[in-house]
Amino acid sequence: MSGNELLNRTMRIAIPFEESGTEAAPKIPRAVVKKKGPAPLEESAGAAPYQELLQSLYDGVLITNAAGLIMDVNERAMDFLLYTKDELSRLNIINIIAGANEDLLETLRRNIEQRRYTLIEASCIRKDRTTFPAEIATNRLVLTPEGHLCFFVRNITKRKKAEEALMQTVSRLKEMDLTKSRFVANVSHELRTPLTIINTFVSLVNDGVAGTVSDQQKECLTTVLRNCERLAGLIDNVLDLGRIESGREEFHRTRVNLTDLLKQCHHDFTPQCLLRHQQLNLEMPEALPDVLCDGDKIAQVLTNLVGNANKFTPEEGIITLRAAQAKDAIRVDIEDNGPGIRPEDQSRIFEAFTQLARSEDRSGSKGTGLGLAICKHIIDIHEGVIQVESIPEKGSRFFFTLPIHTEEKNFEAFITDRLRFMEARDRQLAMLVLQVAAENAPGASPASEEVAERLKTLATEALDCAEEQTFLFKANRTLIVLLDGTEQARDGVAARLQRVLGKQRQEITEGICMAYLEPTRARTPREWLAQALTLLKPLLAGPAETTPLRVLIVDDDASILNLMVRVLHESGAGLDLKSTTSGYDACIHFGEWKPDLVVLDLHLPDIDGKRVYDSMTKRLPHRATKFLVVSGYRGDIDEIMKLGCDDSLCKPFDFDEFAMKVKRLLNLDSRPAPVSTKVPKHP
Amino acid sequence: MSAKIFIIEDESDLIKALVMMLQSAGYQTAYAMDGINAADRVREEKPDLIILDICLPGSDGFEVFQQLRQDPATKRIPIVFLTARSTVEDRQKARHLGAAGYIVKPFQWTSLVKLVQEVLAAPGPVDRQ
Repeated sequence: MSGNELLNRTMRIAIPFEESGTEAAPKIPRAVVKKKGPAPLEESAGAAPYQELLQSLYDGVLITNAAGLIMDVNERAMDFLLYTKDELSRLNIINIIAGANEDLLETLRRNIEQRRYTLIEASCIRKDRTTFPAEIATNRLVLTPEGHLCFFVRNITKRKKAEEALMQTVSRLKEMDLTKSRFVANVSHELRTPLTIINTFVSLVNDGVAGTVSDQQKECLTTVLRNCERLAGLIDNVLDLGRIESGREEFHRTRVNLTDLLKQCHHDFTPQCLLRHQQLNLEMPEALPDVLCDGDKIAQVLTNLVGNANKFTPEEGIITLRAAQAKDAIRVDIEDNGPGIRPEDQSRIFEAFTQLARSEDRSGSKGTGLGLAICKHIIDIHEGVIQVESIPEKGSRFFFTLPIHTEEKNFEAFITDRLRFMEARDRQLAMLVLQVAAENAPGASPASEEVAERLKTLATEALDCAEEQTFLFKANRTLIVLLDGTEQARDGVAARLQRVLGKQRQEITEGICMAYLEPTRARTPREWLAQALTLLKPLLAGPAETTPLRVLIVDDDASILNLMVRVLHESGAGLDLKSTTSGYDACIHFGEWKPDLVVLDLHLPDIDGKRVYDSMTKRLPHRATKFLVVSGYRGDIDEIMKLGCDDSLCKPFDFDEFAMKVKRLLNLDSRPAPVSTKVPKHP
Repeated sequence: MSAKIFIIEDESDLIKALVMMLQSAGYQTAYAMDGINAADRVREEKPDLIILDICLPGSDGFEVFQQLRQDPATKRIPIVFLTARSTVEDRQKARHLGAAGYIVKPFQWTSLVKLVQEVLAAPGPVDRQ
């Protein structure tokens, strides 16, 4: 194995020096480093505390020169490696680390130049050629002008063993889970088959296909059929719950308008309610915002809740289906004036197999006790809430909420679904991003929106016949394709897209850049998700960016104020600017205009700048307003910075620096960011 | 002459039921009980429509489907899947392959007969429960 391979395989993190407190990367106490002069290691005046520290460390320490030759070691290192100090002093560090070579040292030196630690997980070779797993943190040690490298070796044999045992347990559990899931699926098939046959024959006889049936026989057969249906429902519920609980149930979230679902549910249940002389009301506003959900699953929840209301509410009862927009969610209520639920039962009603003492419906048959548990799982996965309020003898009100998300959240939910699905099947997920890059970014022109829509249609056509499970999500001008993480799947999808989009070259190809996020076994799904979101963040934050950012500039010196306005105006960032010399006006503007950034001079004629700052920050958060304070007095600045102000400038200041700070506070540099253009290989 | 329906299904009791319901609706029937000889039997019988189970001994219903589609003699016969498998994946696969219908067990015999009538009247993809 070459040193580079070793690094690729084992170098898990390179930690910036500034980041302290990382357990895996111990720092050398600064005091010790500073005390050391250029003298030979052990002969210097400060040698005693240095040796004491070195010997007291839990880790083995090896100090080498820049070329990797070992200069000094502590007792621990000798214990680990079974060499004497003399023997070690004739060795290079690359003789100690299995698979290491000059490349490794080069990487270490490069990382050190960039002020970063290198953390290596590798095997260390003992004198007797046996090895032990170790975690090795490296750092520079400035003892002489040439500089030294310092290796902290931690024996992780125990941890490795525990890790292995854990991995074995995990894979065994996964296997068991898979076996269980297969068992459940097979059992369902086995149970359904005879049930299908019974059901079919009974209905054939009942419908007179096998000869005339008397009324009495018909009644018997109808009872058989009804119970067949019930048994089928039971099997379905057990399976549904099993699938949802094990995470193997697929959720296909799309934009759904709940008004349609509610109308459908009202329509479906009207005949059943009429049969029982119940009144079924539907109350909702004309329009509700879309929510990202699996429409079929939410319909299942509605069916379950309204079905229960229909079953348990006596004749002549009233059932009301109600929907409304709460703050950032849609709330749906199903209310009845039935017998109600006792307080002690309300808390456990959503648990599986809970059947309440008086839960017999009109036909005397009990439910499966699973319906509400399934509802709860479905709503949980949608990050909503489901609850019940009830007064015995008065009625019950079940309600659930579904959050209204931003595009970013929508995507997160979408990708989480896919991750969960692929993970349950032990498969990898990859992501392909297609973006229509508008030349006049950050503003999206209507033309590019059209192109994105067309792109989506084409890509959908291209991918629809794909055998792999491929999923599309469109946000603003970005099209996200989630696909199976195998190379075949990736190349297949890329080739298909190329073929279809290539035909539309003039219209579309110019506007697209592609990014591909590799699936990596070394990453956890959570890390992968985080990376995907980081990649997409600038792309998904669309419409909010189309309005120009607002900057409120407050300074009592009119000439400086004008200069600041001019500098920002000429910066080409397309900012919306407002300026005032009065603290009072500034407060009014702040409340009405809701700026993204306030440039605030602390010395104003009417109100003290600090009080202006106070009153503004107390009214936050309107949106995330940033503050850049300006003053001629360092003391005032320090005081306000302590209060958490974002940035400051001390007068007199350089206007370029001012413009730069404004840009940085408004994140202007990161805005028009097309994604990195790493295009997947095509066959 | 009435249309002929060919059933490929491994449960003999279910075949009995299917034969009974289809004959009562006025169709002729023939059947095969595994996937291995199904294609040969279909060539002999020249049916107007095929009802095909997915879980079959010997070879899976999707394979039988492909086999029937590759043979010029049978590739135009509409095929309706009748299966206990109800996942979205299976439905999608059936649709992509070009199935004329997809019915999940347990089913209402009247709705099966209705689907058969519809497909025979206008062969094309229909997806229903």
